[in-house]
Amino acid sequence: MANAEQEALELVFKQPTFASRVFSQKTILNTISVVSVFVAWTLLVHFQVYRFSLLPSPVEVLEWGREWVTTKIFWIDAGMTTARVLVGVTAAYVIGIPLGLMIGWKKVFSDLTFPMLEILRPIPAPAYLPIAILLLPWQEASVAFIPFIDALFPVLLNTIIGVKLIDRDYFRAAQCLGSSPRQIFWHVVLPGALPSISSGCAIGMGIGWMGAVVGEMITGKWGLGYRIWESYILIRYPLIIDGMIAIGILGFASSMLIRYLTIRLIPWRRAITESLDESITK
Amino acid sequence: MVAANQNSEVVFKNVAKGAYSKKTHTVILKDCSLNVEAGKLTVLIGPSGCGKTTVINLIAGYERPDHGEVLMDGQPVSGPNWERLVVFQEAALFPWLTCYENVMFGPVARKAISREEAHRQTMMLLNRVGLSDFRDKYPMQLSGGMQRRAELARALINKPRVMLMDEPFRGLDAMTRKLMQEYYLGLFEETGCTNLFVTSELEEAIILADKLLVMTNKPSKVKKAIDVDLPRPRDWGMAASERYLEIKAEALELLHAEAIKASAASDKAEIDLAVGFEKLKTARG
Amino acid sequence: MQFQRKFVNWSLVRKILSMVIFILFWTILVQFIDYFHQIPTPKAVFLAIFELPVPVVLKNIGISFFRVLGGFFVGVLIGFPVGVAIGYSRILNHLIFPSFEMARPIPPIAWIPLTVLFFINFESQAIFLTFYGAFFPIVYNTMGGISEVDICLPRAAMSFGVGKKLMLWKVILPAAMPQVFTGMKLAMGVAWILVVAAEMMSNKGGMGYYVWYNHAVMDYPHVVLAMGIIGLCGAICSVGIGVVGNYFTRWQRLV
Repeated sequence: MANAEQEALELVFKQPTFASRVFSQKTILNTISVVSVFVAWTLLVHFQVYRFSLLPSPVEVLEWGREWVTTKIFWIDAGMTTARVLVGVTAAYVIGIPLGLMIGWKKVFSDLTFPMLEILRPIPAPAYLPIAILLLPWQEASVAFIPFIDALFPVLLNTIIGVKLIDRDYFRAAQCLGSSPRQIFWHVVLPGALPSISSGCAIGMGIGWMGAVVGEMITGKWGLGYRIWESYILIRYPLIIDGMIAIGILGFASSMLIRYLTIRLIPWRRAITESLDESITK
Repeated sequence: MVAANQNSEVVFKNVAKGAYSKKTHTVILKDCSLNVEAGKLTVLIGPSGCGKTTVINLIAGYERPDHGEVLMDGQPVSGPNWERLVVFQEAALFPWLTCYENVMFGPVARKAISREEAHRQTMMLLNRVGLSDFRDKYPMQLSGGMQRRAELARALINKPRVMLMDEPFRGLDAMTRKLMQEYYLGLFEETGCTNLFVTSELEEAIILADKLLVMTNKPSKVKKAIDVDLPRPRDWGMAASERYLEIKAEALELLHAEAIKASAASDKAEIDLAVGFEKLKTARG
Repeated sequence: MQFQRKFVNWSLVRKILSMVIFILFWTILVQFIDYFHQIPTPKAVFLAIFELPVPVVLKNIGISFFRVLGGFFVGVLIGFPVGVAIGYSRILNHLIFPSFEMARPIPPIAWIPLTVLFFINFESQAIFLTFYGAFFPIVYNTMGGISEVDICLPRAAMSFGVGKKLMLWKVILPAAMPQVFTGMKLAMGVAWILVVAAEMMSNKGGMGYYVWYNHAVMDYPHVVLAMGIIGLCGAICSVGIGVVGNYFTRWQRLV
């Protein structure tokens, strides 16, 4: 191979080796970040700093957790909480998306429904609980109402914005081609709003998980939220944290699931989290 | 009128620059040598994606060459500086400042001249670019052409030694574009500042340039430097002259050849990691 | 220039109509469908306004406001600088962000038992909760706003000779302001949700507690009223933030 070409290739191949990639600054710092949290936690509990003496240490949390996961109660609880969230959030999708599409599309419809929704929006979801109990006397259903309300508004708003962001030219083109309103709905409004809808769905799922636990802690006999509260009362403190972790994992998994499903539908969406000083000068 | 400033010459010597991503390494410039003469308007023209913006970034100091040297008056360029100012493709006026405050920004940030003097020069420049009535408007309230003019004023007030224009008139409608070109020519002919202008419009390039640098595809270098010896000050009538048409034909031919090469062959600049690595291994023995 | 005004602004009419329709719908549901008979009628709710124990309600409103605003401001005080730091510096980002990502999926409500364990009195518990709830939206939106600043702006500023210190104040922060305030609005919403939930679970006063109390004594018109009041409070806070935000981003809204 000619010398010049070899030189050029050497120049090009300032590749980081595998080793340097594993031990790159980013991975090291990330690891330090995660590890230091646990180290700090353990130390604070061990040295009984302030009220940290009451908290369980990571080791205890792990041991209790390992045992808890094998009990039947855990799986019932997890299942119940997940079911409530899924029911509530799905209801939010089912009601929020069509409503949002119509509100975004037709001004008449928007005028008739949106003002009331805007008035209802600031009311925090837990405040709906008494009404929910009246409407849906079954314990379980009323608890699912909170994730429903929590998720409804993000889904609704994102859908509305999604429709409003559709380039007006698509509508005009469809009308020129002689489409009926129904065709416009299915072929312009719905697909055009999909990116925003998917974003709203992901957000809604996240917020819905926030709400699931609320209902369970206030009223209820089953579910991870209730179990956390009970662990506090029965002085089984490591389980509190185990419960929190369980909820966190489940919430995270369901958000990821929604994101994954919707990205399949819309391959051009991406999330960017990168620091600024990386991009200013290279 | 706008005062003339000291001029500088920019030289590229065998510059190589690449962009690295997870799977491939794209060589944008390779063995690129060019000369931006002091006091002249040099225009860089080439197929899109051939690294014209990279050349600007290297001269401005936002990026460093992987190989080779970027020299201004014989000294290597070490970082961004008021001496080499860029007018960006998408207007980069600070949206939270008014027109007036934007133009004042450079001198105020550098504390090079007193505030009164800065004010005087700002008003003069705003008058010169025709925006004195709009000094208290925010960029969002200005049209595209007005934003470009404001950006020119913002750059000129600092009397840079090299002005770098990165396709500044892109996206403007034809009439506004013509007006902007006239403005720009007027400003250049007054100040006589060293200018490097990047564009993909051939006609714009020729009517503006003292020297036309035609770039190749990636990995790019200067394919040919054409002297545009049309008389200054320029006017639109020259677009029909013989010399203009000669230059245009020559440049078109060069660009055409590059375009054909680009669509025919696969992109040579993207070297697959595995393939290249193998070659390197066998070469090293 | 004279404008041809339509005789009637139909849009406005429809909007008013929507509220009328809602009230009618509500009345019909309650009076004619046996299933919903326990829900108060609009008329009952309206009449209940006159029976509101105003001093009690005002006191509860004040208590709730104190908790929300306390936690919110602490959240801004700590969250805003952290968000700026993470958005701006690569090193700090890698050092801090993963811990946040770990904590984020856990809903703030789930922290209640731990908070009760750790903090001695309810006020500090409530403020910690609202702080925690406000913290994440503020940090993430600030971080997003800063890292999404158009590259050309800091580059241009650098060419003009703006040093690193001034760059943050004069270029990056102003550009990121819109996103920062979006985050603050979100944070305020979350803070209210948390306060209400926490108050519903305890008996230490506040509007959340008031709602639950009325529920316990089966005084549903007052429950609905309380819900409305809470909503109003939350809306006022959001509008407040909006006004402040509009001042800082007035350059955006001029077209």
